[in-house]
Amino acid sequence: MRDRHKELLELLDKSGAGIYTLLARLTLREDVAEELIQELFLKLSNSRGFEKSNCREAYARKVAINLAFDWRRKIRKKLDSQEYAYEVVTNDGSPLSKIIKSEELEEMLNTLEQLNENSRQIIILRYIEQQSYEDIAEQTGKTTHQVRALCSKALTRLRDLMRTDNKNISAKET
Amino acid sequence: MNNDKENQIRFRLKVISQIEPKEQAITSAIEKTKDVLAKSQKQKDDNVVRTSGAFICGQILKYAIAAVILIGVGFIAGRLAIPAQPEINMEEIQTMMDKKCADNAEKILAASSTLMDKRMYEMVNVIEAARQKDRQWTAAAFDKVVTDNDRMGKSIIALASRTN
Repeated sequence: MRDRHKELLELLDKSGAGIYTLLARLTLREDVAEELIQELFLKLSNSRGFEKSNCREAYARKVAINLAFDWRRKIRKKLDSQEYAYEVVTNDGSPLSKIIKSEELEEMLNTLEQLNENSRQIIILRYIEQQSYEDIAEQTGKTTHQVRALCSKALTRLRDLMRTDNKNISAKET
Repeated sequence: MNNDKENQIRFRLKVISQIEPKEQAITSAIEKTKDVLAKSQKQKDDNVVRTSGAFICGQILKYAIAAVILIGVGFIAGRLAIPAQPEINMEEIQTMMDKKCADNAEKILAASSTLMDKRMYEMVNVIEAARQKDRQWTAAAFDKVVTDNDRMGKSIIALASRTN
């Protein structure tokens, strides 16, 4: 138990900043990222999967991605139930372009949420974390070729999903 | 059209990838996470001590309960295994005992009188035998006296004849 604690502290020192940044990118909120990183490490301290995994850092990143998207799902449900329109609130009176940009990012992340877990992980590692195909292959236990193929498929799926979402929005507006 | 969409996706993903939280926020988040982990670890250690104490107490309690149950079950089984005892009627027992004592006394009496008779009979026989023997001795003594008298007479006669 002590070993696990020590290992987690080492992981936090080594990859804590990276994981926090990833969480901030996926939630677009620093306060939420701070909460989620705490939740993540508590989860890891009791996780058998973490103990068994060959690459602890990759496992931690995978759990972080899932936590971030769980949070997104939860917050959207909450907003839906309160009948709020999906909007980005800015307290500092940001310019319109910034708001539009934020909305676009939210839309992107919401579309990402609709992918399956593997595709989502690969897209995030490749395009948000900017990792090489080789690194992703090592982390996910797949070959580079498989990762490239999955990446390409996931992009196509994302494109389709975005198109469907836009059509739905247009239909609602008319 | 497809390429435009794909470029748009790539662009948005790139924008997301360029989001960098403030250094201060990162440090603060890491420190807070370390605190949370330390607290959790402390709680786990406390729980281990508490759980092991509770485990030992639990074990002792379990054995104690098991022992009480076993004793109880044994007692009940023992009680049920014994056939039901008839109700004791003291008067009946008293009557029975009185009757038994009377019978025994009669038997003892009868037995003792029989024995007495036997002893008396034997004594009479012994006395009779002694008497018989006594008579025989007396008869023998008389015979001897008679014989001795005869002899004495004859001796006196012989003596007298010689002295003449």
